[in-house]
Parts: sequence; structure tokens; C-alpha cells
Amino acid sequence: MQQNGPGDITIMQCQTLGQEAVAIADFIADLVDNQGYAPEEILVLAQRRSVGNPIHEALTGRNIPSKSYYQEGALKSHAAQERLAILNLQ
Amino acid sequence: VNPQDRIALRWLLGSGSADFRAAGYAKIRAGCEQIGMTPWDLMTSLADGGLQIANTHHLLAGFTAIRNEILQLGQANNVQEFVERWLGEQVEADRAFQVLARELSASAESAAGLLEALIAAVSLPDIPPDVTEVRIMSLHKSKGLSSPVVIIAGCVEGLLPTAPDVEASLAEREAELEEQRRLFFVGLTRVKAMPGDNKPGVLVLTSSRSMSLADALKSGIRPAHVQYGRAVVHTSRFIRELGPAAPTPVAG
Repeated sequence: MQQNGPGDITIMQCQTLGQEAVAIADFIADLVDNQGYAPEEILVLAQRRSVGNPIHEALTGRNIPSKSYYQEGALKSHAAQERLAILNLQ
Repeated sequence: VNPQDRIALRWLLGSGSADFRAAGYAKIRAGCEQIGMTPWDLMTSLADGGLQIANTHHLLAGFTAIRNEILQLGQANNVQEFVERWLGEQVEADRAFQVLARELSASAESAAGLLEALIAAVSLPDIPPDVTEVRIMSLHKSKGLSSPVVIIAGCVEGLLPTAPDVEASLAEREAELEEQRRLFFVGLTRVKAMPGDNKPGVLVLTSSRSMSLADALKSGIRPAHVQYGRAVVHTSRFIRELGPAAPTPVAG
């Protein structure tokens, strides 16, 4: 990764998924408010919407613009999640 | 698409219950380990009267409904008929899901193909070239992007990597694990410093020790164990594999 330039790596462990979302949002708020990074220069990668959404909500609560790219709404309802689980079992 | 999918079955059986029917399912799990059966096969025996386990009647009622629906779906003559039965009236109010599922079913050749297309669609929507927000997306979707700050969240076993398919061969499991390791590397390499703007690269890898059982099952995460109704998960092996050069974890 040296060709990608200088930088720092941080490994953060939290007690709960909720605390993880809060810690990430606080970290991003510090980057935006104090370190000169623009929101569009920040990429949050999470394999599931259930992990990404609490981060999205925590950022919204800090007035930091964010957008989730998990085709929100399509699997939001309980009925839709149930249909997907049934399809998994078919 | 797998009738032995333990996570989907567990989610469906617990769905609608405040504690996800944890006590009853613990009895089912104990029965599975004692007899050496999968949850699906054990519950089939319970439903058919071949076995009896006390205090599992709620789970059994749920399982019977699930099994009946699976049998009915299996009798569909083609994908379109399958989709009509599968969607039924239950998601009438869920327009977004219904539209997406019907749209994808037009080009799907099987239930498995439809499932694959649905998963791809919900995780790979298009990203416009000009953005002004923090972007939150899957690792798959990040391919081709770069940014001075990259945060990979949810680095836990069961999610990154996902739990292996119990039906897969050892070679298939290893291939899948390697594919996910490659995907993790894709995420790591999205970070790119902007030295001209005095912005070094920032890479953050985060994980948590527990989450609600509902969140875990909804995300397809098989927890290391369940404690007081919460799913306990372990930090991803991919972080451990970074080796001694990796920084010491900090508490979030």
C-alpha cells in the first residue's frame, strides 16, 4: 500500500454495534470539524446495511452529510426481510 | 438457496418475538447436538411427531408454517409463478421491495438466480460521480473508488468473513474464504493520501464485541455464542492476519 502515500492505521474495538457507530461518527466529526477533511473524502465500508445504517444515523445526528448506498427501502420492511429469508430456504 | 440455511431458519423462527424465542431454540440446538441432526431436520421430526421436545410449541407452529410455504413454492411450474406465490399479499404495502423483486425476476431463471440478483441489487446500487457526503457502502461497491479516509466497519467473524456454508466442501470453503480475504484487501487499498493538500491517508478498522441477536441474524452473522439474548462476535481473522506490524487496538 506504500504507493497510496503516507498515512495512519487505527484498529478500534467497541463493546457493542451501537457504540461502534457512535465511535465512528465521533471520529469522522473530528476529521471534518478539526482536521480539514471534507465529508466526500471519507468512505465508510460495511458489508451489511444493518452495520452501515447506525453509522448513517449517528452522522446525521452530528449534522454531517452522509449517504448510504444499500438501496435503502428495498429490504427495510419486516415483510421484505421475511420474504428474503424464505427465498434463502427455498 | 438452501433448505438447511440455519441463519434464515433461525431468523424466521425468532421473528416477531421480543427475545427471538431464545429459550425454546436453545432446546432445539441442544437436541441437534445430542442427536446429530440439523435444525431443519430436527424440527421436521418434531413436526411429524417422530420426536418431542418440551416448550417448543411456538417454534414448532412457526416451523410448520414455514415448511408448508416452502412446499407450496416448490410446486410452482416456473419462476414467474414462483414469484407470484412468494410475494403473495404479504408485501403488498412494500412497494420498493415488490418492484425490485418483480423487475429482477424477469431475467432470473430460478429461485437461486433471483436470490443472487436481489443480493447484488441491494448492495450494488449506482454511485453518482459527484458527491458531497460521507459515502457508506459495501466493500464490493467500493471497487474502483479511492479516498484519503477509509473506515471499514463491522470487522467481525461471521460478517467479514461470512460464516462458511455448512454444505460446502473444504475446497469450496477455502476458495470462498480467499475471495473474502481479497475483498478485505480491496477495502484496505481504497485509502489514498492527498499529500498535495497535506492530507495523509487515514485507515480505520472497527469491530464490536456484541450486537442484538436480531441484528446479527438479519445480517447473516452466525454469532460465536449468545449471552443474555445478545450475539457475541469475535474480531475478524483478517485483522489478526495483518500481523505484528498492525497497530495495537484502541477502545472505541
